Amino acid sequence: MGDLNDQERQLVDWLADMNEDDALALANRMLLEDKVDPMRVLDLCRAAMDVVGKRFEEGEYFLPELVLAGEMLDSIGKVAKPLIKTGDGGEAAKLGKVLIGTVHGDLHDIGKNIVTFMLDINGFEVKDIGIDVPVQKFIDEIKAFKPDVVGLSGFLTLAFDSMKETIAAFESAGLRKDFKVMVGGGQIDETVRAYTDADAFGVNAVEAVGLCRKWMGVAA
Amino acid sequence: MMNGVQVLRGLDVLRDVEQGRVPATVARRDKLIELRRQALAIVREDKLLASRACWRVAALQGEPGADGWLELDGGRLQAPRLVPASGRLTGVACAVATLGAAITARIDALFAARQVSLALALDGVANELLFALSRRVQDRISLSLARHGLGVAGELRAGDPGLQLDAHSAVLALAGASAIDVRLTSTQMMSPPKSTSIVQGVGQDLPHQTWSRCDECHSRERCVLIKDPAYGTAVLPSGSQAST
Repeated sequence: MGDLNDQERQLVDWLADMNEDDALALANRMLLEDKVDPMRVLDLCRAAMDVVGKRFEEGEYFLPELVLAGEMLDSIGKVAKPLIKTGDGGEAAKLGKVLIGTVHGDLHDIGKNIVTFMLDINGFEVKDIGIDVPVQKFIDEIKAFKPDVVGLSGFLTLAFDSMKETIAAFESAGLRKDFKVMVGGGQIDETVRAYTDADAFGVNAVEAVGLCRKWMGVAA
Repeated sequence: MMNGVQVLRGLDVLRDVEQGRVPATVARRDKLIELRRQALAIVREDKLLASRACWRVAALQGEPGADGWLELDGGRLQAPRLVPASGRLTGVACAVATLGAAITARIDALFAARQVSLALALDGVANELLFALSRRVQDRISLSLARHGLGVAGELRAGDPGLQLDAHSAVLALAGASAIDVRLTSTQMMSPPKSTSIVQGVGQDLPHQTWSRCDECHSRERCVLIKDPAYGTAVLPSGSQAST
């Protein structure tokens, strides 16, 4: 994202280091007093989230830190987004549309909820259709929402059969070519991806965001 | 040996968690410690806990079969790890415990309200509560069996190495889970979600187990629970007969 001045670098560092109070105060000052371009501030937030994501993948940070960082970005976004509207007459464009749900028979929703939140704060329009979602509901929601990516969540090994059945139903309905499918959950790996015929799998929210960004052509 | 379904209700496992009797979610930051405190307060003030459990000892019919099949009073399980190298296996204790549905509903509501870190903290507290409840149930089982001169060995959940996930329906049936309104979904997941099941070998002169259900867990190396000082006291050694 180019060279950072001292103030910008400070914001990225404070966000990445979980220094919440200082980071939020600085972001507000940049947005409301210094009149920094809100898109620039959001870019800085995403740069900080990239650092957080890297630390998460390296085992330095855990899920709570990932979520706390997401909430900081969310807080800043609530201040920044109205300013974007005021500035150019329109809300910032979403990177893409993601439909997400936990497949039928599975009631796990924590992971799905976190992925939903992380995708949302990373600029995607996300529709979460809940847990224990029947195949037909997925199809109906896909027809209505027209997503770029469909995320299927499932934690238990028997949920993999539900995932396979759901993706096969997309094919039967003639919808499969219209979007990418990612699967996620506690035990997911390449074997499961191949079994379910998904396009990709992710083992955490950071990977899910990375997949969607890649598919939507967003630079890492 | 007792063979009726035993039901436990209203155990104050919140106190166990508040007093640090079970491994706690590691909170490395002041903010996370505060979130956990808030989550505990929500559970207590909003009375989200409806803990209940049931268990039953199913007597072994004959000797353990080939490949670890155990013919039990009320069902059959393939659990080769429960077949002891010495001593005598006389039955299997099957238990089911749940926190009820309200705590999950509140977690969902917090996510919906975008209070994600608090939702996550409440989920962590719920897991601690379920651990505490599981421990209480195991203590009760051990204590009851001790009165009959019996001990327990091994601890399995359906889906662990040594007990197939599709054994779950048999485990719930043996435990009498319908008595506490716990059921399985089509993928063998328990509902309410914050529930757990336990399978333990029962018998006389059972040897100390040399394995743990955690041995093959892919998260073992970075598991924070097993590093918690409360972990050692929370898991009864195999073959032990509870004194509490």
